[in-house]
Amino acid sequence: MKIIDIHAHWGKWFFPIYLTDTESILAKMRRENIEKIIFSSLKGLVYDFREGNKELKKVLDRESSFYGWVEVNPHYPKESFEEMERYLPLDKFVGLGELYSNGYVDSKVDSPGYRKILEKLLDFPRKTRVLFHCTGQENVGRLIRLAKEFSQIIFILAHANIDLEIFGKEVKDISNLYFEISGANPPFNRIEELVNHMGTEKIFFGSDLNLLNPATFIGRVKDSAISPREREAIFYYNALRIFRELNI
Amino acid sequence: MIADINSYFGFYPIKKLDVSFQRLVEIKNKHSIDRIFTLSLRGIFYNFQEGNQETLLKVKEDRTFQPVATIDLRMYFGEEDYFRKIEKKFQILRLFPATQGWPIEYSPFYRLLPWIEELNMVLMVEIGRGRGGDITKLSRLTSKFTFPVILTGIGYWNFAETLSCMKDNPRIYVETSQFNTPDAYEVFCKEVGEGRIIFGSGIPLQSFLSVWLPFERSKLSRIEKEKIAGKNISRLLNL
Repeated sequence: MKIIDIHAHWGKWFFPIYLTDTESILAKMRRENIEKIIFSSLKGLVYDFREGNKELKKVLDRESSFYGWVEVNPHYPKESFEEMERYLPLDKFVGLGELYSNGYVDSKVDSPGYRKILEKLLDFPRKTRVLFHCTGQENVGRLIRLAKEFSQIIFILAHANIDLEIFGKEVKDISNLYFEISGANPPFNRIEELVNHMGTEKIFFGSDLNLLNPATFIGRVKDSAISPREREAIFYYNALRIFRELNI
Repeated sequence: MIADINSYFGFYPIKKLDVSFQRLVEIKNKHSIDRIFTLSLRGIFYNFQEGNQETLLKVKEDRTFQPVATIDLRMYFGEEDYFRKIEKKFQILRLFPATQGWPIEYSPFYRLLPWIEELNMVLMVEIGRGRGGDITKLSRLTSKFTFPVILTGIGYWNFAETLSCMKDNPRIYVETSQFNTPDAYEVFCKEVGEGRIIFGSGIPLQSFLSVWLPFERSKLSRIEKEKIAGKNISRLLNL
């Protein structure tokens, strides 16, 4: 079964992680049958987004199966616009990500900076996709409101850490809100829950590589009580449908 | 003479600020700071080895600057020579447990301490707000070593713990970037002596004058102020 991994990081973490070079990542992709992978720059996420995007572009230029998210920083909207103009027109960049609430940038999902960035993203109609990491259900609620407000943008909730008891009814009808399944220790039936609630077509495979390992999440999908066709959709076809540039 | 033990440069991801090295040079010139100890924010937020290299390169541009090293203990792989990554070109090692989210009672930190002793460095440790007890633990952990420990992030919220530990452990010093009032200097001088207080501003993340003026307004003698503003750190580092 072929896989597209929409959530990966390029760079060295501040944790004991060996997997940082192209060859090791390609070997891991071959091992897990990952055909294409979308990275965001780790340096861009935790430190300097401009430096990170520049480095990532060089990596993407060398490897045909590698794609990228553009990192931006809500505290630097003007500089973020410049990055968007520089990279979003390129075929290898698919949208903005991984954007973060709190944590590394200490900003709410709907901060004025992020809002300006989302407004600017509308200038790039082929790339209106955002992979967002939301800390806590309060920020998930904010993301849901943003998804309603910016209906032209596809919002992907990284790690799918949504409390369906709180938001389940509300998110059912939001057509531009998607979910990516990596993340530590959700309940055993998490994938089934998401599929039953949202439908299979809203769910993407992601691994959070190189922080985490794709095998964990491949196992999670394979172990879930869903049909083979639904598994294929999550592993591959949903991403192919939404990220059209991956067909190139 | 003014020596500033606490400064940074690089890129600041959590707020829009010009924290470039050039900005640091401008602040230095504006306030006639004679000596600045600095490190790259890259080493705190991203990768300490890259950060330390950048620090060493940058300080070559201006002799006023002295390099400060950092190490990120979250990256410890278990390798024997991990701490050898701290180069001997540095005299001060700064740690950021609160920013990086690791506790003082942390096994990699225990392993680091003998290396600091061996390298004959001064240790500077960030004390996070709301992490009461960290200073007490740090004081106990370092009491069997001979290297000086400079605490940063010391303000009214942890004065009590700081003063108490400084009375117990003579190798603990305090940096002043969070001293918001002139009387803080006076209290510390009275209780532990002017020799244990080291001026630091936190530039360019903080305003230099907002730290300097309370110090200047304090009712300390000229000799006490000279020690705090520069002589103490020169003595600790044999400069």
